[in-house]
Amino acid sequence: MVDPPHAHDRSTGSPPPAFHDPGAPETDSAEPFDPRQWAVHGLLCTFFDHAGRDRTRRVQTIVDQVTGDTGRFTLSADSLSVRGTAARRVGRAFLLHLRSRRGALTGLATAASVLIGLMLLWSNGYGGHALAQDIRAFGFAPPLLIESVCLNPNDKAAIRDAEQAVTEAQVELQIALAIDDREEHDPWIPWTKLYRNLRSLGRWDEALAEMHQALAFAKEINTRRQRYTFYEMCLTDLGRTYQAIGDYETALTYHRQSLAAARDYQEWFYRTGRAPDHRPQALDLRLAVALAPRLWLLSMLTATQGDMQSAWTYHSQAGDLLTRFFEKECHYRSLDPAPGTSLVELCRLVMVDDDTDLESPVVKIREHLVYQTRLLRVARDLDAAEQTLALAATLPDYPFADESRLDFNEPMERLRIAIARGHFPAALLAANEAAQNTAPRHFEQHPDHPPIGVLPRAELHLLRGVVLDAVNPDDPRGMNSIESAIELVQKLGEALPEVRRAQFLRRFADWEDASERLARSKRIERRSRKPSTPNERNGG
Amino acid sequence: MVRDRVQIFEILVREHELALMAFVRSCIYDSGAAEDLVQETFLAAWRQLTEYDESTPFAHWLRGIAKNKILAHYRNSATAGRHVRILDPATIAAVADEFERLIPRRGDAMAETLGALEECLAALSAFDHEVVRRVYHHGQTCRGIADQLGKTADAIRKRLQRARAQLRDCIVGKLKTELANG
Repeated sequence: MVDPPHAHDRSTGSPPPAFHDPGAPETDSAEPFDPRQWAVHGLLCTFFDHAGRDRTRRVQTIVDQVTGDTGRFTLSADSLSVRGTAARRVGRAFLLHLRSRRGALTGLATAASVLIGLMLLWSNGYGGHALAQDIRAFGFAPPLLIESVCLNPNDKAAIRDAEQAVTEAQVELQIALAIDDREEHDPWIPWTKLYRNLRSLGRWDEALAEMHQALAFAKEINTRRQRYTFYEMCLTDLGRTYQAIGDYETALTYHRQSLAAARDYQEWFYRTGRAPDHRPQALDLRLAVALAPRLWLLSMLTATQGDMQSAWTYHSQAGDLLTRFFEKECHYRSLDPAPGTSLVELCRLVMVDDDTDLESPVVKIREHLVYQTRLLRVARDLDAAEQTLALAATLPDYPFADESRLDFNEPMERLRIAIARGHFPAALLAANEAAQNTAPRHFEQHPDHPPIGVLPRAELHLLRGVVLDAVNPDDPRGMNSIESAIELVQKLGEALPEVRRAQFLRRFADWEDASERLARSKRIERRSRKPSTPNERNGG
Repeated sequence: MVRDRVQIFEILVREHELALMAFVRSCIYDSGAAEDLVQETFLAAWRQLTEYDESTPFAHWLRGIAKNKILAHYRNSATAGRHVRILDPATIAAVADEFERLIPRRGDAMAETLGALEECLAALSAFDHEVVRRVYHHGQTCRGIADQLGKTADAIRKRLQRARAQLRDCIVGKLKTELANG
């Protein structure tokens, strides 16, 4: 119990009556009311009482209480017979659980698991087995859908360039909107430059405001071709931005609208004879190339939300588009595949050297297989995931057509599968391969392909740290790598308003928890390894 | 979705729990009662989450709920026959305002404030540091410390008061510098 700074009745100016709370100690009645004293008192109490204690458990207790709250009863500390604050909190969570909705048997089972958890936590922390299971869980985690839209906050030169680009784009946009000459001064170009740079800088709200304005503008455009190009790009950018900040529900809405708009536009473009390619499979090619990436995005979004059924449906739709194109391409080339020939086989039938028309759809098949690997991994079918990834590797990867950076994403998938299997040396090899492929891919036609974004790199840091730590717990690089990943994410989240930041950080809560668990297990391990008797200390 | 709401709320709890505890401990002296009150505040916040206006900082909104809980706590204690002085809303509001200065950043800024506090504690004189440590770490009373150190209880209280004032100025100064440096 602590001396509180004493209250003073400000309305009368008279000294306050002595504080008689039986739990409170004596106070200095001569001390005038000063909110600064009170506040520092609270800080000191918290600093000495709470700051060193297990924060995760306290948070979990509160969240348990919230999730157990059905609104049918009210809390009363007196209703619990268990004494002691920690015991009372555990008891309360259990009691809430018992009372709420799951029935006595479930409550007892929960109590047993709580007890086992507490025993594990308090007796010897995370044992090696539990820790290994935690690490393996990383491999089964759903895709984070982290977009390469953010700049590294530590990259000052890139930040400066983006800020400069924002200033320029604002002026250019004003001019474009003021001049009614869409051929010379198309507002779309400065508008995308403006909001994409704002987004890169993490100025999410400003970027979203510009995107919504651009979308409203796009709806007003009279020319159908221009309207669809603007409108559909705007929808895609909105979807990707909401996805980047973790608002998956809104992202899903925009991605669906974008998919519909893209399909509508492609069909109109080809059926009205505007397309330069008049082969019968031309529309199928455009639909497959334009729609498949959106369908994968929708598939990943729904998988992230736990809706695997929809995830597979979207994924299959992308596969159907690709299959339809390759079947038509086969017929066009007078090839006659048997009904039900697989997509990869169809691809092999039509694939001939130096056929640049096919590079883009062939890479799309490889991307399709990598997405399929992700879904299989999340569904915990690691054998099928590994086979699919191996199949993808048999197809060529043309760097210029590879916007999804298979050279990075494939080793990342191998890394996640190896972690899920607990094959840490293999995971380390895959992590090293991914790390080597983070730079831009230089190719003659497209020398300016961007490097791997800062968040995928952060995820690589995290997974690599987890693996390093599993392989050798004495290697400080493991924890350093994990901590640097988490720090980077927190820094990126700082620019967001609170609730949006919560959405953004929600996806990384597992990272932080895992880091805490690893740090705790290491502390406990060190403690248990420390010689406890003089004889042991002397090596006896 | 309820699951999403819970996850978002968990992050908000993680960010604000310690700062809320500090605020409640400023006004409630019983640590167990303070912990209960923090939990009840979060429970109330969860139930009223749809009413939260995003334009105001979440911590500010949370302290608003806690203020009412603190007042109710004192009222209930008084009606339960305990002789406690009921704090007036203006007093609690003044303490809440002070927290706006001590935790100026939005979100999970408590770590910065506690970091500054740790540094400021190290800057206290050895005697003041010892008094603060005995009071807040070991839970000793001023009279107990006075007896052990051969001083008067009033002298110890005065030292404690000065130490708190010094700590407050030091923390605010450090946080201002950090904010200015980005």
